[in-house]
Amino acid sequence: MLSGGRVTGNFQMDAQIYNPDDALGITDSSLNYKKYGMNGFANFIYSNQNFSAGLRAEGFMNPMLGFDPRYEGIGIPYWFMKYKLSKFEVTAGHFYEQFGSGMILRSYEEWTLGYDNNLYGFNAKFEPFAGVRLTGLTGVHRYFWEPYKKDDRGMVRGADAEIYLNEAFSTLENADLKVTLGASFVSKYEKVPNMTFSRDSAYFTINEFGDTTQWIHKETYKYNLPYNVGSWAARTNLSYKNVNLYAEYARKGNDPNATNNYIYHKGQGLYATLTYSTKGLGIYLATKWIDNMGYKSKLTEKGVPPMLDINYLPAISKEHVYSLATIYPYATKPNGEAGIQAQVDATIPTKVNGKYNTTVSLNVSLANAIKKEQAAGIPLDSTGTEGYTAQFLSFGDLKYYRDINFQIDQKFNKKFSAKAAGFFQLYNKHVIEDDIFDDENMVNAVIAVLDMTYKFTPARSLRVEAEGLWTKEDKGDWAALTLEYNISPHWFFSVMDEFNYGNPDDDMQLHYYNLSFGYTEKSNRISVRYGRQREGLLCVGGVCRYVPASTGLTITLTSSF
Amino acid sequence: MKKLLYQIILLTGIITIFFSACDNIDEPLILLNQEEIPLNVDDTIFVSDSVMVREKHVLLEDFTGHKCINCPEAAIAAHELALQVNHRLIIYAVHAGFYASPDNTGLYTANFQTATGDELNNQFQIFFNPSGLINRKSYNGSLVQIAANWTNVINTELALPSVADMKLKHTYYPKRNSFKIDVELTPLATLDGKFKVCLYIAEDGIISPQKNNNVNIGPVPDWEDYEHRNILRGSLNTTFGEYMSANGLLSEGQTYSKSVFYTPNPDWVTNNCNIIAYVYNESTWEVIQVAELRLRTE
Repeated sequence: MLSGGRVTGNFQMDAQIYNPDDALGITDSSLNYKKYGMNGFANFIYSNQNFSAGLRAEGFMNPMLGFDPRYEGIGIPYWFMKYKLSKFEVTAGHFYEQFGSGMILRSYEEWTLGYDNNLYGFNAKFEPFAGVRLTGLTGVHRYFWEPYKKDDRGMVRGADAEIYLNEAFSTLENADLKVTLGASFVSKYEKVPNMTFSRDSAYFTINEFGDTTQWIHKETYKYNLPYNVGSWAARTNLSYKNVNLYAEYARKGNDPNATNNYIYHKGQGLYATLTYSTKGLGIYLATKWIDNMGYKSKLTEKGVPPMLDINYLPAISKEHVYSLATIYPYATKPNGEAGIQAQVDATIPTKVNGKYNTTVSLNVSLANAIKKEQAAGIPLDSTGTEGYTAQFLSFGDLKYYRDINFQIDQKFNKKFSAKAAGFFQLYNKHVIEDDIFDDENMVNAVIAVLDMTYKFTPARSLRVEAEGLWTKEDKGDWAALTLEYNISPHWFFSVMDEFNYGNPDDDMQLHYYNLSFGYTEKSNRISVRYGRQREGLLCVGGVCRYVPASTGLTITLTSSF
Repeated sequence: MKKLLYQIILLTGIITIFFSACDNIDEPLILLNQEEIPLNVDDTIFVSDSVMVREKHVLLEDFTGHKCINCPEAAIAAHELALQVNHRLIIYAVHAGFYASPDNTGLYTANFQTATGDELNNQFQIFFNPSGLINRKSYNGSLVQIAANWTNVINTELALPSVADMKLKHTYYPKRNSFKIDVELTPLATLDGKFKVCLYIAEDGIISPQKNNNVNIGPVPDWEDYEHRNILRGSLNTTFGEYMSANGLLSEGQTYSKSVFYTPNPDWVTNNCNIIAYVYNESTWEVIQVAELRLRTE
């Protein structure tokens, strides 16, 4: 059994030592006297021919700032055993899975967000023929460290079928048009709680003695909650020469829950992308339309931090790498969102110095509310009702987000290259951060970036990154400068400062400085950073985590084998 | 190709089965309770009574039926025990299920079933009578206790220390023929979990036929003038109650209160009715304290 086996794995530890910082209002007391935070994990996977097994050990002692305190502890939240026999593959234990784009099922882990919705149960895959892939699963979600107890969360059941026609039918094998069709169904069973709410109305009566009494008529209702909430999705991927189209449509049954104020409106969503690529030109178009598609395996679970999510709603805004461009990121709004994204990447044959072309990237993304209308005259989103009606693909007036950005990359010679980028962002702070659906707190921001790299030798380079953010709203203007010296392949040294010079509060016109260095040896890396972290949202794929301000020393260790 | 077709048919079948695993809700809300609350109560003429519970009291929910032959023996024994323990045992009879169903003709036409009783019967999956829930606490691996276990379990529960004081009070306003029921709870320690309070009304002393198989306690097989004790008539604040505090959490030493207004049902003898108030842990169901108070209109 053990002969021929192989063990692989990886490890990461992030440790922070926090300092009190009067300017940020951070004291030992506000840190709950937890001066040290550590998040760490280690994956170990054993594989031997068709069998594999693995586990992930995690420790949060204490959880770093910005991570839910319920993560505190150490243990093994993920283990699995998997074997593949002929056309079958079975996984027992914890597993990750995704159907299509994830609109009705995606189980995944994102360490930087503290996000893990692994499923604990069974996952079986079957490929009866070439090009046909069937998946069936059942399981319960991870919830911090709480082991599953009867009825404490719902069970998730799902099935998916995907057919790649060009492989399934030999006559289509050489066709230019490549077609993949897929369909999936997911259902959640949950023993629903007894939940009630009351409505009051006032009236007067006069008795035979002429006394007037004011009365309240109080009606108490019980929610008739569904034990089973089903969803289905159908998708296709069409590929013809340089063009690729992906489209997925999803429906969800009535699913009153804490994130939608217990309305009974059925959910639906559409996600589509169209890409074209040829030498020197790439075009990407995407659209997303989401109506009440929040889907969790426990109906009383609120949205923050995101836990027990059955599905994932793809983000269609570009994720930026420059620090000031990430101050206003976009977070998906599952209760209703209509979005579009377009991107063009082109190489322009400018032949600088006779050989270096210019690369230009232009990206536009926007997200609005969907158009919700009152159902039977009842105020929008009234609990225990249909909530609203919405026409498929309708665009509402309320703007959630706009991002128009460009980037130009130019190499001038062997030693010097530069990037220039510009961003024009509109950020609805109320909607994105507070789930208040109005336009009373909009932020208009313009960001400019100049990123230059000079190579002294093939192994030694200096990168200088200058950024500016200008806005009249929120925390006002920012400037940032980064100097990064690399000695390839082992060392890097970096000095960075983000200065919030335009903050309307004079006391908060602070420098968020950071000094860091790192050393890499094969697949091991250690980096050390000291400085101030500004508060804000950290988003990956539209899923976000709030990061509070902090000051201190951060050590990160990563390793793999 | 034929095999592929079979696979597609199989898959369609699987997906059809999955589709059936989806509940379509046409009536989102179920009306549980309607209450008329006077805002400017005349406080010059009223009748008031109250009870203060400082020791551990125990609730027995006796699931019974007038056609259940073994039930009278269990009920009589339970009420005798209540007398022995100075009424620290509080009992109401839930008429629900097969043995409680009324006949169209004959001796057993009375209908003592209630929506509240049916909900309790379903929630706790009562399959036989007599069955008892004692403080809704699990003993010997079961929440539901057979009558033979009642005395032991009740005595075990009575021996436990009290975790909360409870006060139950009613005020009757003759001019409006309505009661204000007040319940107060003072935890003696900070308690884990969220807690709900239920206010039930039970009618005592109802004379109506009951099947019986024990000649030592009364006529068999039909005990025509049987006195039914504390038959559950309904809930004043829904079957599973409402949070005792704003968020259900209880802290040591704080006093939490709830009030409801109740207009007597003319079909029942008001002065034979008892209000039973109990507080329970929402997730474990365990009843932490219970009190009973007879309604008085004079």
